[in-house]
Amino acid sequence: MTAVDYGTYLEVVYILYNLSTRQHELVTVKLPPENPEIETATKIFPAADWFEREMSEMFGIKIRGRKTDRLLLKEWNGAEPPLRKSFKWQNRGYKTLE
Amino acid sequence: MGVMRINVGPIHPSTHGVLRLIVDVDGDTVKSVEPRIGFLHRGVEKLMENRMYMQSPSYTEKLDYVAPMAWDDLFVSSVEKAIGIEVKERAKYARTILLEFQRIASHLLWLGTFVNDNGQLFTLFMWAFRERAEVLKLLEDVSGSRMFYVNWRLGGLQRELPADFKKRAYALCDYLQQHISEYPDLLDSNPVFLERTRGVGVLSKSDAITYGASGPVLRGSGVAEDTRQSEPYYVYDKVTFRVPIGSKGDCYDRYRVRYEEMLQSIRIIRQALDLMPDTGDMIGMPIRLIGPNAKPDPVMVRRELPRGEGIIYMIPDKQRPYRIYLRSPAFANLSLLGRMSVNCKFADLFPVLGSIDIVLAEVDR
Repeated sequence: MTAVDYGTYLEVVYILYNLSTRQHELVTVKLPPENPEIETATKIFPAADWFEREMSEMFGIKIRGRKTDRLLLKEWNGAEPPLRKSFKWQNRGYKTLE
Repeated sequence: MGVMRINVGPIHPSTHGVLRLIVDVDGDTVKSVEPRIGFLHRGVEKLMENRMYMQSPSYTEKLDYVAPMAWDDLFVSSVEKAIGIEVKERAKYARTILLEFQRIASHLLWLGTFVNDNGQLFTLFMWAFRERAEVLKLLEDVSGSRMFYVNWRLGGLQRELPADFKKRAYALCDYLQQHISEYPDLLDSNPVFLERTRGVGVLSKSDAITYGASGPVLRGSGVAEDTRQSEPYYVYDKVTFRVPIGSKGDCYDRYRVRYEEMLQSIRIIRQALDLMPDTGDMIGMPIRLIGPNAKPDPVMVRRELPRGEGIIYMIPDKQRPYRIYLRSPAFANLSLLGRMSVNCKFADLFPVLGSIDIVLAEVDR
């Protein structure tokens, strides 16, 4: 489970795999870039737990239906979610390679 | 006495990296475990989105420093799929052989440290490292470096295999077969090892499926799911091998699954060496810009890494991935630790953690 920032919209991607038929399926959901919210997937797929938390931190997507967890991978919540395209690591005092 | 909360880590020799565990214990019995990760988070996905395709393999390799070649393969395969490049016939065999050697090296390191966790200090650790060193020597001669190979190229490998590769690989298979067969003498007839692994850290079949385990952890719980078999890539459909599964889902089953996998890997390597053509091109192209062939369609590649099923979901762009998502198997498996170790003794917590086979660099990314 992950998300993609397309600029004008966000896309949440669920990668599903059926162990008995051995088929996988991609389910995508489009969300607006401002204040995105999505229902939790853990009620149907408990395996989505950590993946959902990771996605929420990295893209600033609020997950409805679950209590607020502590941060999983990030240490603190900065101004911008890091995997959004608006987050520029080049502007943070590091030299770029190009 | 009530429930006591204990902090373990983040720096602790038994956690195989920087992992913090918040453990609630009642006397000596573990009531709940909460893994806290993220100490090694460096934003690899973001870094890769800002770098050329050619620069990225060094990032994917450092995710799993125990089996870098497997991640190398996963990334390069996803780029190949994005451009639509077919892997050269001889390179398919070479890649299969090298990946299986890498799997053996990774499982050997796991076995040595796992047995260490169980208190059987150093004999098997030294044995496993002795065998692993032989495997790494061969991989070094193939790629030029001992740990971080970066010898995967589009459609093939970076260079031709050494002239005596087949002879040495056969000899190495014999060597590994002989020495790995000695391990059960030290483990399966060892009452202390059996006592500490049998019935400890049980993960039921339904829990393993529901909570997203993969790889040896899933197979140890009795689910015969292996990407090499369910969705064969390279020459895995031309060789015969068995997918070992456990029955109870305890630490012992996970050990047996990995042990059997090593023997199956040797079997795969021998068959692939038999089938591999002696002549033919196997040099691949450098991972340059994808250029005009770039299709913005998302690409998804699954591979059976030593630790479980790895997935790359990539949206390619001309110079660099627009978005790349790395599904790390250890990340999903570690989230199951709380379920596995409920009601086990505190001293058994680290063997259970060891039996998952985590690499924290891959968990945190």
